[in-house]
Amino acid sequence: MNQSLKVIINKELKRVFTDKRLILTLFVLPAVSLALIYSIIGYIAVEFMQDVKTHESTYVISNAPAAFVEIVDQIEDKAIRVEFIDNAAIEDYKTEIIEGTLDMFVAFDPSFVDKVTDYESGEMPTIMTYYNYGEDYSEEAYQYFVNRLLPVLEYDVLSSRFGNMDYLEVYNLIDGSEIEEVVNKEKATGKMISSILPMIISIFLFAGAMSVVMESVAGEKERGTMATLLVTPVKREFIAMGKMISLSIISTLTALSSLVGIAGTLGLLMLILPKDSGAGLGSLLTIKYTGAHVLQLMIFMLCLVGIYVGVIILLSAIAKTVKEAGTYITPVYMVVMVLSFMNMYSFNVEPLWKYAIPVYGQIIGIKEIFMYQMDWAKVGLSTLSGVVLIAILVAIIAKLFNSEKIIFTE
Amino acid sequence: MIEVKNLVKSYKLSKKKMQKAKTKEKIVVAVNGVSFVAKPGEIFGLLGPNGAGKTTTLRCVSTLLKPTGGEISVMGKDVESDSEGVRKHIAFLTNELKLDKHFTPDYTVDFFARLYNMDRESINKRKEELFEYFGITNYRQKKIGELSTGMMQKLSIVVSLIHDPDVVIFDEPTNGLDIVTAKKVTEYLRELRNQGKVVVISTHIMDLAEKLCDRIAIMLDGEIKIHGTLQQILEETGEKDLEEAFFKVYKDLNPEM
Ligand SMILES: Nc1ncnc2c1ncn2[C@@H]1O[C@H](COP(=O)(O)OP(=O)(O)OP(=O)(O)O)[C@@H](O)[C@H]1O
Ligand SMILES: [Mg+2]
Repeated sequence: MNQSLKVIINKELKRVFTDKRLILTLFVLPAVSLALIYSIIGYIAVEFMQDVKTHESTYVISNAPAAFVEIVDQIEDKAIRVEFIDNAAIEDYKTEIIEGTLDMFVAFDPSFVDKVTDYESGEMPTIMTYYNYGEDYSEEAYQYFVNRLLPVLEYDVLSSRFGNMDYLEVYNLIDGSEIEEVVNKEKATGKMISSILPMIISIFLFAGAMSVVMESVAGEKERGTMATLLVTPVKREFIAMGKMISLSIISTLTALSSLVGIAGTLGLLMLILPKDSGAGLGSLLTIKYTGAHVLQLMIFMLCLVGIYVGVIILLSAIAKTVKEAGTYITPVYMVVMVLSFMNMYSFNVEPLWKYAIPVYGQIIGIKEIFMYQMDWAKVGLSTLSGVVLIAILVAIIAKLFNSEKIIFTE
Repeated sequence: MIEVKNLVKSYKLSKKKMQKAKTKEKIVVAVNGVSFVAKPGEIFGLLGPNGAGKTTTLRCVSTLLKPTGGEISVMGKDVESDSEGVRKHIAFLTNELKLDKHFTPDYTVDFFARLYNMDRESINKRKEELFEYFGITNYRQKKIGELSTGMMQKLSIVVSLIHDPDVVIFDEPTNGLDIVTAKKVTEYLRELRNQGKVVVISTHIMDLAEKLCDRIAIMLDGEIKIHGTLQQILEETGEKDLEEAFFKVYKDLNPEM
């Protein structure tokens, strides 16, 4: 790396990491205050989930085989209320599911028993499920049906086949919720934590960058230390890049410290709360992420940080004082917040072209990582658009540092 | 060598500044057709009252401002087309250039020296010399914010000179310094001249110009009204000291005084 660039980056980092006051305000306070907020949010979430678990799930089950009715009768570990109706139709229960008075509708194949018995013909019976997966009670009812009730039926059937390994599949389980539109997305409260994360990451990255960048650019102008640097023969590009890189590092660390504050709090909650509710929280946080997910998340975050830092440097360089910089940056902060919030409740997979939009692309990217829907083409496109924008920002900033307007502030 | 030919520099005023200056003019011509040459081995002084355009001239020479008109070259390099090349050769000191109060003198000097691509050995050697001369050695590990104003200014001088430049441009170098410190600075400027450097200073102090400068240019309202050695100026005006000469020039322009 170029010597001047290295020297400038070093200085910026030293400036922050040898200043106790800055360490406190940039890294400690955000983490601590967020830990506090999240203890409260986490506590409420856990309370809520315990309520979901103990709630009596209501089902309407059409054409249930006798064996299944028997299984339901023997249930002791959960309060459930099941109405068995022959030849019921989903159309009659749609509104009840959407309104939440009914948690789930299940339709067994009318000839379920025949098809199961005559399994060697190869025709498998279907089981249709309908539930409002945006709603927690409904989701819980579905999970219980699929993971607790059906396996018992499956086991019964398989054991009656005397271990014939060619026919291990008993039925087709098809979820018709989407087709029948029984899902009411506005009620997706249970997805709160995972849907709120992309927004929080984006906003923290901006907030983390804001104070430190304003200090380092507008503050240096205001105090006259920038002019001293500009008297040296250092290329303006290196000053711009040096600020960019060092401030991105600091901003990322600030945001990470905030995230660690949140994650630490939630982890602690899982440890100290009763096992059952803790597991519920764990499933919400879904710890099924792979190395690729983490890498993708890092890439998106770095792009966002670069763009945010670049924009804030630019505005701080135009401003004469930190205060003035603040008045320019606040509206941008609002826009970032809106962009970040916009996606909170949309769980659809976004089309590829949207990833070419800087900032927006990265935010929906982070969202889709949390939904396990990310692919590398999207990562590539959004990285490309991010890097292009960052390069443009660096060029403009370097040009600004060359302009006499930014050298002297009086 | 510094060559300034017909330098013109005007500032555009913001609305706020227009109100402050109680003027309706949008443009202030701060420097209007200034030409001079400063040679190696001499101290050249720009002498003039507040607002004469001294600082503006020196900022243009040191590439921080872009001339509105005219040409400036420093050590044969053009300030506009090769501003980086010019900056390599100059030391520029003006009271708006500040140092970060959080760092120590030691670190600050190292930082700037490395921006001039100096190696460790020459940095240390040069730093010791300058710290010793300006009496900073005992304060080198303190925070700059804890130093006195004079000490800070001496440190700024050290920072500006760390790369042993050929051209030294000091705007009001003794402003705010006590006589002992001021003498240290002027002594050092003489030393630089004797080493064959180009030295340019600006001042409004007659005494300083008279004693320190080999050649003087009297600046008024953005123009050089008269220039030459002290002897030449006294002869041309027919006065017996610089102050009298200055007022003679001044009165010619402002007869109401
Ligand atoms: N940034 C600026 N914007 C607008 N006008 C300016 C600016 N800087 C200087 N001026 C004007 O230009 C003129 C020359 O100013 P300059 O600072 O060069 O004078 P000076 O000789 O250095 O004065 P002093 O002895 O007060 O330092 C003055 O009228 C001043 O008001
Ligand atoms: Mg001045």
